[in-house]
Amino acid sequence: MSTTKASRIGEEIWKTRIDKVNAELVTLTYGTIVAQLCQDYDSDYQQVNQQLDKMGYNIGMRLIEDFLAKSGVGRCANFRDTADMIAKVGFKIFLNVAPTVTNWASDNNQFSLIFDENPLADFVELPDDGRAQDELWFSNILCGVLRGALEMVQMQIEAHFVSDVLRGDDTTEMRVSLVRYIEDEMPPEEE
Amino acid sequence: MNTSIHHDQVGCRTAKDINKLPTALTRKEQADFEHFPATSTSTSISSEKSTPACCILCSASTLSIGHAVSTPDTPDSVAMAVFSLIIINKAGGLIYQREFQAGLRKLSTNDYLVLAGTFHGVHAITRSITPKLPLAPTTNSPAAASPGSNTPVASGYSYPIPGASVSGLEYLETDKFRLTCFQTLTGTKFLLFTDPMTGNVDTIINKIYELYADYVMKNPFYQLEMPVRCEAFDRHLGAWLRGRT
Repeated sequence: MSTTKASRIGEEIWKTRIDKVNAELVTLTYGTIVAQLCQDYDSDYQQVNQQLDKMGYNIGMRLIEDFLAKSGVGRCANFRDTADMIAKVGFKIFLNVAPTVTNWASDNNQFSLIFDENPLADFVELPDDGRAQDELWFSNILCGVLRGALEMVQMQIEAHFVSDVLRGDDTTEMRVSLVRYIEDEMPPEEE
Repeated sequence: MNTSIHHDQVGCRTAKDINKLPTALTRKEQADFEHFPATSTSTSISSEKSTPACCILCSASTLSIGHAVSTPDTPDSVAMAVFSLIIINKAGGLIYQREFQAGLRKLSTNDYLVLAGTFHGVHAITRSITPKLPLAPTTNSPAAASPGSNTPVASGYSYPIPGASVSGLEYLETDKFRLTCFQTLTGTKFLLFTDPMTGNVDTIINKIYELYADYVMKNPFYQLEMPVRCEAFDRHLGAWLRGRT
């Protein structure tokens, strides 16, 4: 499946099958959660990152069913297809953004998602306590969502942010690596 | 291991469902409904333990067709002809079971659990007995040929109809009913029992999957892989199936 076809599917589902919600509501809700976590963990940002990832993981495991039910897409033939599906269909229908897939590792098991826009981080400025800028990955929940969702379709992955415009970087980039295909649940063909 | 838990919870659910059923019926139907259990229990006593599960299912669907024909002013039951739904989690455990026709005879809860587990096993077998063709050197199998494929390439054989994935059992049909199995990519199976004449079963199952994604998976208090006890799912499922004609 090509990138353009994935984009078309994403666009189509976004237009016809998705209930829309006010973007500010999402941004403010998510911002509140992160701020509260920072407070609860006494600005231990490693902990906050971890909690966000865990929350995302639980969301991803549930969200994947909605994704499959709405999109009706079949299994991806390879990890490159998976990357396009995540970027152009998944992010499109749930966040109405379509990050760029790039920086493939030579073995095709690692790629980066570059976010030109990120609705979770609108209006956000990280606290200037000298540490948040270096330690907090504000949108870390997205890593967990990908991890949970892909685990349900038999892919164990690792995802983390490597840069974030909130920290003053030029881009917001997430690195996604395939660890392995989980074989127990797989039809023999796809291992 | 979880059998006892399933048993209790499924038991609760079905008792509740039965209590709800009569409220939706007209007085005439209600009279039918009240007569129905009496006849069904009397016939079922002999077959309670000895008859294999599939026979009970067959006779149940026959009975319900007869019921529908005898009350022509209930177009629903004739037109939908969706008898029941079973949802099996990826480990082969029964997580949901429901009838959509009043008075449809039920298996015992334990039989449903056995049916779910057995079907899960049979489904896995049908998948693994898919014929494997020797891989001709000239064949351009897409899996083997696609550059940048990360999946380990199956060496030495290919499947009939390249491009379609190995699915396992999808339909099981008798003269009296048809069982359609839809397995999601996450491994959950939806088993729909319908009249063999019912068309568009795929559409029905897709809609059920959507409702499941909405009212079960998105319910934050639903524990994954556990029996489904979501009242909103029951309600929307019932309403949607009733609304179809």
